[in-house]
Amino acid sequence: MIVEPSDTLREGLECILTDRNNIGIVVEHCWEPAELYSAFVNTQPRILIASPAVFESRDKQIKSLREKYAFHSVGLVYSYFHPDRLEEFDALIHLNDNREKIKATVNKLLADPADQSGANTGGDTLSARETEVLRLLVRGNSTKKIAEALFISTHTVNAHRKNIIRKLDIQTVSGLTIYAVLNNIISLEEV
Amino acid sequence: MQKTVFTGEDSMAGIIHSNYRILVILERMGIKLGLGNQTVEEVATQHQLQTGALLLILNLFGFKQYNPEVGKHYAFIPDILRYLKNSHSYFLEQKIPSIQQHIHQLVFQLHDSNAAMVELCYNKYIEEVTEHIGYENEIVFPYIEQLFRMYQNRANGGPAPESYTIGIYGEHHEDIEGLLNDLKNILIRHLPQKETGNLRRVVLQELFDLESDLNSHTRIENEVLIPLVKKLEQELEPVPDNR
Ligand SMILES: [Fe+2]
Ligand SMILES: [Fe+2]
Repeated sequence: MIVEPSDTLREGLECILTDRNNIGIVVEHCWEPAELYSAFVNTQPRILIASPAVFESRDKQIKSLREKYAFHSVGLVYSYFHPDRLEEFDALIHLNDNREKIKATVNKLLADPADQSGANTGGDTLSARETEVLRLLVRGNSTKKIAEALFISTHTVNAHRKNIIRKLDIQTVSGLTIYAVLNNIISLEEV
Repeated sequence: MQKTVFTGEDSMAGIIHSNYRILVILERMGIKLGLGNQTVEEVATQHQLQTGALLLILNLFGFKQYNPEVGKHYAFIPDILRYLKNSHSYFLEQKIPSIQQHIHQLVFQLHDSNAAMVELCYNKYIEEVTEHIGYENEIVFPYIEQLFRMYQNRANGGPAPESYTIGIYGEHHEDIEGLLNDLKNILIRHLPQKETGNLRRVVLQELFDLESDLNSHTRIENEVLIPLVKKLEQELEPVPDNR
């Protein structure tokens, strides 16, 4: 999840992190730091990206999130901060980092085995709603389209998507399509 | 203690004993077996390779946590390109077709019309990988070779070729191993083993192998080749390029 008021930074970063072939990375964003806590609880991201200033001003909230959830914190550094203040982060993204560097930083955190421990709890059967989202997803619908079709928010669609990916441990649209066909969620002819 | 990095003083034979999959690197770098007690450095020198380049490749292949430091070792570029090109041929001519054949047989044995989807997706994947590698072989690598030649003949060379920059490659360079991991999980978790025989295990071993091979391959492209060529571009063209 990216918490950043600047549209340019937030959307630029999101654009870099999302890969056409791999929908395993779902980027949530929140432009208003005051909404950090509720946005976090709603989406339960594995990584929280924000400026060190945001981390400081929301110090108490982040502490209480830490007690309840396991996540990595990444500092988005675009002005000078004393090195001591940057030490507590699991990783840093600097404004002049290039695309490969930023992707590598995030992928390294996501590949952390300590992080995967909880990844497959909660069984692997999809709920009826998740199955519905999966059906629409593998038919090539965008998050926005799925939200409209099911009368739910894009936020909720993203939450379903994340649960599907977590439960099945399948990250690409092709992989999800195979799963959907094998389980008769869509027919082979529809592909 | 578990080793976390190979150095020039390590015995090449010892490295292979510690991780036999490194044999493919020897093949790709033209290193012949019958290594005796030679160290990495001695092997590199004997085969006219840059020790540092060989170590970068060995370490990225051997250790997930390894963080490459490329500096301004432009002299590594030919060895890195050689490794990447020979990996490309290995993927396209050996590994990927072999998996394709095995998946085809597996699907046939499953007697489940829906299982054909696995084969369909894998065949689509082959098209994507072929395109990805074709672009690197035909556009990116020749550009880098041209740039490197200019660097070598700098006294009489001009500025960097203008038609292309490595940044264009960096922006479009996507991961190609995602589907492999999904296929693994489908074969391990989601598709009941109704067939007899050992084909599923064979396919899975090949998928694990190709995935980690491709993984370190992509890391070499992203974390060694691109940063190194970027610096070389700047060196040849002192005027800042804002493209
Ligand atoms: Fe490649
Ligand atoms: Fe590549």
